Formats: sequence, C-alpha cells, structure tokens
Amino acid sequence: MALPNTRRELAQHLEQVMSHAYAQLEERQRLEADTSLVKTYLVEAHRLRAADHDRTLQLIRATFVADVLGRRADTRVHETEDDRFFNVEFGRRDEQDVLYVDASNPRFWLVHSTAKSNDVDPIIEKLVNNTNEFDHVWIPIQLLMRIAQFGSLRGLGLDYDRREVPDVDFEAPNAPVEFLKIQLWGNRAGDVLRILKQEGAFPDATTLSKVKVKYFLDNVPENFCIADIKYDGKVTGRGMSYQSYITLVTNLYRDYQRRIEDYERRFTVTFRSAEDRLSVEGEPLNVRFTQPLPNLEAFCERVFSGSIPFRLMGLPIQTGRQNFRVNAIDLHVGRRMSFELSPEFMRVYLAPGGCGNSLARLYTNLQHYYNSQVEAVDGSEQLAFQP
Amino acid sequence: MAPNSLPSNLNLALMNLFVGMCKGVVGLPRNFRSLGYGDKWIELRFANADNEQVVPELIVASRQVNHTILFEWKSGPNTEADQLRRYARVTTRDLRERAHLAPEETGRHDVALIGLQEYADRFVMGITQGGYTFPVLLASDDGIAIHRNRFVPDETDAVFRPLLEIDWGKIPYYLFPVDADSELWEFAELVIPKVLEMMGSGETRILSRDLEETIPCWSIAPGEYQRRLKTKMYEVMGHACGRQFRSYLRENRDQGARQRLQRHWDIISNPLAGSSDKRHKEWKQMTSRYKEFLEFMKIGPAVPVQEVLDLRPE
Repeated sequence: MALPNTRRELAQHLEQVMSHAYAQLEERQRLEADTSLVKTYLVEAHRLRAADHDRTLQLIRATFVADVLGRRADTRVHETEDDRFFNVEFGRRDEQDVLYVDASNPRFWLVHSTAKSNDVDPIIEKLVNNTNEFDHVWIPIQLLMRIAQFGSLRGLGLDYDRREVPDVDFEAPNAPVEFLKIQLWGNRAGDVLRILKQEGAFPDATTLSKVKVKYFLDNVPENFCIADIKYDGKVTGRGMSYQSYITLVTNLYRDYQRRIEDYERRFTVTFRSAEDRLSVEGEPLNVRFTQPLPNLEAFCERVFSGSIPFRLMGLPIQTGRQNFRVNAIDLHVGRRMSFELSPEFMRVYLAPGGCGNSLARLYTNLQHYYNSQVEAVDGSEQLAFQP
Repeated sequence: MAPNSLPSNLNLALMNLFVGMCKGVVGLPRNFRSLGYGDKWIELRFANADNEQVVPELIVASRQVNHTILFEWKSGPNTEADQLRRYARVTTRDLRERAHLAPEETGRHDVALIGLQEYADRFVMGITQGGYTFPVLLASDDGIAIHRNRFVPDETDAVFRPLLEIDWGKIPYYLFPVDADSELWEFAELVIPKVLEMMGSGETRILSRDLEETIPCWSIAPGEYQRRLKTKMYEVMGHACGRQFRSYLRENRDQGARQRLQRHWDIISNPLAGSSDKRHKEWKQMTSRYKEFLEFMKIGPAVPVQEVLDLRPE
C-alpha cells in the first residue's frame, strides 16, 4: 500500500485493516495474526508543547535514527500533505514497516502502526528510553478502571513484580507476594478482580495492567471496536469500526492530557512576588504507603538509581532517623524533581517547567513494582488520580 | 544533634512547618489545614494604624474560622519592645486594606510569637511587661505549645494545647531549603544538582542567575541578603571547581566575559551531554562525585579527592 498522504487516507487505511481482520476472525473463528491489528502508542513529547511542523519534523529526524533505535532500524521519515503528520518507515530494505506519527497535539502524540508488536514495541521502547524527549503515557489503576467504564469490560490483565524494588527478604514467612501476572478474558473478569482485591486475598499485588474494552459508537451495533489498553499507553484495536476505535482512544487521551496539565498546575511549587509581597503557590503530591517501607535506604537506592522504569537519578540525603530527601534529576526531561521520604510517605515536588507525566510514571510504577494500594493525594486528602 | 530534635535553624524550620501544614503536606499535623488556614504572605511589609511598618514572618488566614494569624518567630531570647508595640496597633482594617486579606478571614486576628523553650522566661518578659495579649508559643524537641495568653478562636487555641506534637525530622525542606545562616554543604545540596541538570542539558556555562534559581524565594530577598546567599553559593562552586568537579568546571576569569555575564563557570568537559538514559554509567559516576563532594563540604578536607576518570566519549 502507498503511504497515506493525509490523516483522512490514514483513517481509511486503518479502517480497512481493522474490519478486514475482524471479518477474517468471524469467518475462521480464530485469532487474527498480530500483523493485522491496529496498534496505537500514546507518546508524550514534553519539550514540544508549542512546537510547529518544522520543529516536530526536526525532532523526528533527530530521534528516529539508528543511534537511538538500534543499528538494524533503517528509518526513513516522510512528510505528508498534512501539518504534523509523518510516516516513518523502518526495518530492513526488503521488509519495511511504517509508523504513522500524528502530532496534531504537539505534546501528546498518537503513533499508529499495523506492523507486528514484536517489531514495533522495541522501537517505541528505545525511542522513549534512549532519548530525553519522549515518555510513555502512564495509566495508573484508577484511570484504567475509569477507561473500562467507557465501554463494556471484556477482559483484563494484572502485572505486579515486587522484585524490582528488593527491600525485603522474600524468604521471610510474612514476605509479600513477589510476582503476580494474570490475564483474564471474558465478561466475568471484573468479578475475579474484585475477589483478588479483597482483604485476605492479594490486595497489595493485584495491579491492573491492561483492560479489554468493547466500545460502541452511538450505540449502533455494527459501529464497535474491541481495544486492549495497556498501562504504558499501548492500545491494540480490532472490530468493525475504526471510527469507534479512534473515538475511544482520543477520549481516554484527552482525559489523560487534562489530568497531566492539571497536575503540573497543582503540584508545581512556585513563589510569586510582587513589590514586597511573596506568596507560595502549588503543593507537593503526597504519596502514602499503606504499610511502612521496611528499608527506606534500599527503596531510595532503587528508585533513584536512574534506571527504567523510574528514570530518576539522585543522591538520597538522610535528614533524620528515618527520613531522606533527594534532589533528583528526572531523566525524561532532564529537570530537577525533589522528594522527601519517610517510611510512611513520600512528598514529590515538581520544579517549574517539570513534567506532570513524570508524576504519573512514578505513581503507576510504584503500583506495579511496589504495592498496588499505594495512594497519591493532594493537600485536601483528595485522590490525585481519581477514577 | 539528637535525631529528629528541633533543627538548629529555627527560622527555616518554622517557615517550612507552618507553610507545609497550611498546604496539607503529608507527615505533618493536619489541624491547621482542617481549620481552613492557608498561607497568605511571607514577610509582607505593611503599615499599622499609626503608619508604622510591621513585617510578620508569615501571615496565615482562614475563612472557616474567620481568623488571621501574624506569625513572628525569634531564635534568640529577647523580644523587641518597639516591634511588639507596632504589632499591637495592627487593626482589622489594616489587614483588609494594607495586607490584602478578605473581610471573611479577618473578622478576628492574633499576633503569635514563637520562641525557644530554653528561653521561655526571658522571651515572655516583654509581653508581660507590655501587657500584650499576644499568644506566646514555645518550640521544643517535642513540638510547639502555648506558654502564655491564647488565640481568640477556641478551635485554633486547642491546636497547641497541651502540645502540637512535631516530628522535626519530617518537616518539609523544599519550600525554604536554605537561608543566609545555612551551612555550606546545605547550599551544595542545591547547587550541585543544578550543575548536573545543566550538564545533562548540554549547557556550556553556568551563570550566577542559574544558581539563584535553586533558591525558590530568591526574587523577594533584599539585595544585601541576596549578596550573602551568593557568597555561599560562589564558595560552593569554588570548592567544586577545586575538588571533585575540577575536570568538568572552571571559573571563567576573563574580564570581558565577566563584565558581560557576571561571574560564571565554564563546563570544560561534559560526560552527561546527550541522552541521559544512555549515559547511565556517567550519571552514576557523577552522582558518586557529588556524594564525595557533600562529604567533603560536611567534614572538610579529610575526604580524599578520588582520581579523576576521563569519561569523555571516545
């Protein structure tokens, strides 16, 4: 197929791919090959908040390169007739796949593809991890639950791995769950989730990582899609209607953007001065651990080591018996981000110009790698990541 | 210092504590926030009914209890008679018209003085002699308690009786990290992350104003005070250039450049430039240097300078 030259042509192409795949599925009664599914990666480009077409193109040309994506990623970037819409071909000469980069919102990009996940996932991963420009969208449990309510829940995935922050002895009798990964498909998935979250089951380790949602546009039976929405912003779609799919995806993305911008406004502490007057605006994000951290030093060492998924580099300074503070660098945007920790809580301060997406990254990954019940609240004790 | 005892810098501790409590910061008592108190002004200079200036350290106010508190704290044993007299002449009208507060939060007001428990007797002397009704609070390792007089609203008064327990190890730091009396290592804890941030962004020089950015309330500080803060930050940079960061930073002493850019430091070698995630090893090594440097700033030249590894990409 020729590369789409406009967003309209892209929509037609993806519509065709989706409906064809679904028809095949119905006919053959088996799962379609991964290649025929539409994938959309929600990617945040923090520094481009007000970028125009040329600046966006410049960044794509600088980052979609072998140095970032790996030697085998031979990429070619194509402009289209539409502003801030690009095709990026990648792969070997004889086997080219395409990323359709829609940067109509200069900061919150939609990157579509119909190539195999095995080929595209590593590209997106490297793009995020090997540059200071991009980040995944990070969807905490509460927001995934909310997204599930956009349509009807058809399945879910749980993914928890406590080994990532190894501050406990897993051999001890009362040691926490080390690892919990479950995929549940079907209409009863929600019931299983409720059971696992009950006291006495595994409430600390039941971390929602994916929801499968069936969504009807305008309640018309044939206008539906089924989308798998993952906590790192990867969406995989199938069904009869691309229009229904893109409506679902953009609904969740708009909700996410609104929240991130709101976090930046609320959780950035700024000092305002006029004449001789000084006032302090904003407040920290308060993270509360449901059980005190058993080894705060080990926790700090891991979280502020600069590694993925946290991407925070800092030197913890002990300030009390069991208190630390860290003036860290957020490696996503290269800006300072400050923390004050005790076994019961962590305060997170964004510096002016800091990235709200980094708050979502921290919180979401604490749910996945520390405790699914960790809470994030504002000064009024309201949940920051409200469903 | 015993762990989590009252910090040596009372001014910073109380400012961070009260602003933090108003903001509902986790780890601090919630009483103040629950009564609706919000931080309004820091060191606002305004005139009382006699057109004499007062400059409370902090003004907080609550619409919920229709009450304003002007806080004044002292790390020494004495109060100033003239200052107390001026505070006594602050009226509700002054608060509304000159301190820019709303009528709904200024129905009642108190001037609260906070001092150290160890100076209790001398601290309260000026209040007693002047016959003032200002609530006098005393800070100790355990928290803050009312020592003399009372707040007008009962619910506010109850917050400090018998004691508002404070774990001083848990008070915030970010809001007001240093003042002119802070130790050099405390300045280093602000300045070096800024240096690393700028190196990570690929900057080629660090200007004086970049260092100023690390002190959030810089813009409001009086000129003389700014000079004192600058002196400490420059001293930290001087040590950094001479010790753990000598391979990366050098002060630019060229007169022309200094005239244009004021005092500044060139980044002469930068292993952090480029993708921060790909330069993980380099970041780790720079963080180790930062750790050594902080040790040096805390305990002095006993800390040996580690041999410099050339981290420049080949």
